[in-house]
Amino acid sequence: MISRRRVLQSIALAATAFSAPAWALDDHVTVITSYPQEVVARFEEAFERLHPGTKMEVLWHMPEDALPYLLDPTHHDVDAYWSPAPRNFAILRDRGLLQPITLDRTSLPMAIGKQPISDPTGLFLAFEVAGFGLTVNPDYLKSHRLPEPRNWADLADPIYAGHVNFPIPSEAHFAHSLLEIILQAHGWTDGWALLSAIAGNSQLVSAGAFVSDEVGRGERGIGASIDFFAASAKANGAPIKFVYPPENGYSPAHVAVIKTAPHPEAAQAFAAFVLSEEGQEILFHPDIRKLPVRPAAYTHAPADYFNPFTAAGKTSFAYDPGLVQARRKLDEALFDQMGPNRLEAFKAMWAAIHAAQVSAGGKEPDALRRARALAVACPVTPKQAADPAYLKTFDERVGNPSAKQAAAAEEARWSSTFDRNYAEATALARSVTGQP
Amino acid sequence: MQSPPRLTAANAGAMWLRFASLALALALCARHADAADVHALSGGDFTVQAPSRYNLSLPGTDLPPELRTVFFAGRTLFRQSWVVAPSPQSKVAGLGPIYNRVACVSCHLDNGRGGPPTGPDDAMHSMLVQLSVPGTAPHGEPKPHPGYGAQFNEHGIPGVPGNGRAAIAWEEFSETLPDGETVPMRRLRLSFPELNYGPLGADTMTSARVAPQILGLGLLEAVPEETILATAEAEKRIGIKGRPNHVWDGVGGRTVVGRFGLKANAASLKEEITGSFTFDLGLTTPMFPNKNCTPVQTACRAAPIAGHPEMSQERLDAVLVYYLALGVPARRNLEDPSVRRGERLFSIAGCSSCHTPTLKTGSHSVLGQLAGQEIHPYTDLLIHDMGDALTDGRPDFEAGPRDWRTTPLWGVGLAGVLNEHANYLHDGRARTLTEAILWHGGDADNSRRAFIDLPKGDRDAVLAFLKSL
Repeated sequence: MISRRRVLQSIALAATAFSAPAWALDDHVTVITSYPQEVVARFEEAFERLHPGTKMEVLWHMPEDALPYLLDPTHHDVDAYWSPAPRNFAILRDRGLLQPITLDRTSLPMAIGKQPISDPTGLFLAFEVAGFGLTVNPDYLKSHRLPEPRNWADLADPIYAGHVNFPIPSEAHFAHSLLEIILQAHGWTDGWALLSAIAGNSQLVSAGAFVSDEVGRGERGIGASIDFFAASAKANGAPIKFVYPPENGYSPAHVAVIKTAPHPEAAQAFAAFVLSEEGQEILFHPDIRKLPVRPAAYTHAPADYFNPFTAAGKTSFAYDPGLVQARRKLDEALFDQMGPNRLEAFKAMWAAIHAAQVSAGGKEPDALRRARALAVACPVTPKQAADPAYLKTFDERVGNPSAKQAAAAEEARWSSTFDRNYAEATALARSVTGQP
Repeated sequence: MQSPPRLTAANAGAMWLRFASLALALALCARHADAADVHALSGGDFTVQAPSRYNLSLPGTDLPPELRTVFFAGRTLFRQSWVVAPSPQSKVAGLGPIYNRVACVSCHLDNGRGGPPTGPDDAMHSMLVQLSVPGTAPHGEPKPHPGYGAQFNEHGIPGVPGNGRAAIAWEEFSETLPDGETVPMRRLRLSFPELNYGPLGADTMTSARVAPQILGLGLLEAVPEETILATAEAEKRIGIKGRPNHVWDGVGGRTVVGRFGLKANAASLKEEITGSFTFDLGLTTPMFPNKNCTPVQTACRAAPIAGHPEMSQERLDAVLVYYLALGVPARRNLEDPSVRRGERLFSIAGCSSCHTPTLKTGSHSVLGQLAGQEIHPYTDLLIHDMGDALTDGRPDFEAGPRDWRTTPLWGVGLAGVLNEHANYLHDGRARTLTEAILWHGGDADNSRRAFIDLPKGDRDAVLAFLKSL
């Protein structure tokens, strides 16, 4: 018969498998990250408490700055990379600059539903994921007699015109992922049509945090956003809620140990710590509110905390993060040309279309149908969007003169198409209402 | 190391005299019974109802659209992590070469106060050590250490050694109050296990300080200098020795009454913010166009600079607007009889002689809405001798080693809410409000004694009042 003492010892041993042991490591570990201080400070404090004598030195770099730094062969001072920058990790892996993370990955899934989140070879592992959805101010919706939206397509409903904030992908770093969820869920052509209609209802904003602020203050009723801005604002007292549409994707952040880490033991300990139960539960902090990748952590989650593993089981939508990376620069450029770069004309067109819809009283006269078709027409075909050479043009436009020229030529073509279409759509819509 | 002032049999005789005085004060101060209601709007129009971490980082009042944009730009800069130059992210480059932390918010998380390390192996996450040597600099300010500068910044960018490492150890002890309650206390021991630029020297003065909270600062800046001086005169008449600290205003180029900083050593928020970007983060500014490196810090002096300056006046002004427009939490639990009784006792014990409940603001050149507000910060903005137990051994302009500015108490009740910790006094030594009160000496000694002489229930009422702020 197994004694109670043996059982308790086994439990204690199993518990330590998920947290790094508190023995003395190197005197410091240097980590490159783009996490804000609200995140870094808490992990720094907890890691140093667990490993007294090992200081966590942080080099803060945004992803576009971190990659050149890590690729520079003269930089030998970095131990670990810890950041929401999937493309960077893939490049570092492909260039042979990472070493395997040695922790036991048994309880760390490599995917959420059908979406892979970690590198299958273990050279970089997901540390947390962020989802996307709708920040909503219930009081605002109530006072404006608006129903609560439940999915992306709801945002295109004319009843929400003027009540929505939507992020500009070229300025809000997370927004290209949000765009791709809509494009992948609805297909390229229908997806861009939906995006145009949503943007036509929206104030276009440049930073995700402003979305939750403005919705929280009641200046708008709905904001399309990455989840943690809103979740954190809500946890800290903002009068908002966050709705996760059924079609969703998760933007992972990763941790990796650099191949030439001068303090490899400390680097491995750092990776193990952020992925341990203790480390993962720090993500529940009101100032952080990201989604752990260790399912067991959710047993200690605050009430009503979103669980992506549970949610993934309820949908057949499979978000392709590879496509997100591949189409990012195209998406950003196209969205800019569609809306922000001709905002006055874009807004006037959608205002005219909405007025025409009201005037038509539920019918769709031919002029209105044609106006809508022109408004949402995308100058990039699905074939082009799937062509690696076409995508590369936008990917390499910075630093490659011929790509820069080709991208500029395409943008000029789009620009001309949008200008022509918007003018005609506006005229057609106004013909329905009798406006000049 | 100094101990808090002690209650002994030798001074027990005076206790009876103090009770008699308190009884008289009770009669005279009975009119304060209803004062609590008028104090509900702690910040006037800048009062934040149902305060939370969320709304205490928003404008405290409605701002015109153009100022609101500047406010949020300032908030973004306050939360921004800075990078090492050269960097493609040139707008946020210039960290160091020797620095304290990478962002303002590192020390001022959620605009709350910082906390000290738990022990010698714990890093100074939201604390710093100011340094000086005997004598004064050209305008009367403390003279920086010739090798380490005005502040012991531990971190350096790659290739530049930081100053070294400072360590805090705690010596625990306890105080027993007259009614038998035991209060855990601790005193701080500061050491420097690593020094990268030579010995500090025996005459170097050090002052370990936690980051203060960021709230209501615009309102405090709008209090007229005449009000501060008049308060000092009024206090003199009742035997309280609060003094203004006349300091050099680097922005205006003249001597003024200081009001910011733990020793009221900073003339204005503009100067305070500029100094923080330079001395904490290492960025060059229009006021401080050179990198914060001493002559012996040669790698620091050779490090690249991101711009001239790295932090423009326009961006500093945005951070200023952020600071100015932040609100103040409304009073809570005003209907609780304990809170009301506690406020009366706070006054009777003489605490409100220095922690002045009410001030009125005058005009402000940047944010006009700060004008004409009746505010309840519970500070006189004066420096007071707080006794040997709280000395840091380091003068600052006219403030001596034992002198400290009366800490504004608005927001003190949220210390454990805005942050995960509640640490009080300049070095965060006090973990409870009772502990903080027990360290009061000098000008505040009578009030401290009055507090500890109260029955437990009355002391709890005072604490309930403080927690309502």
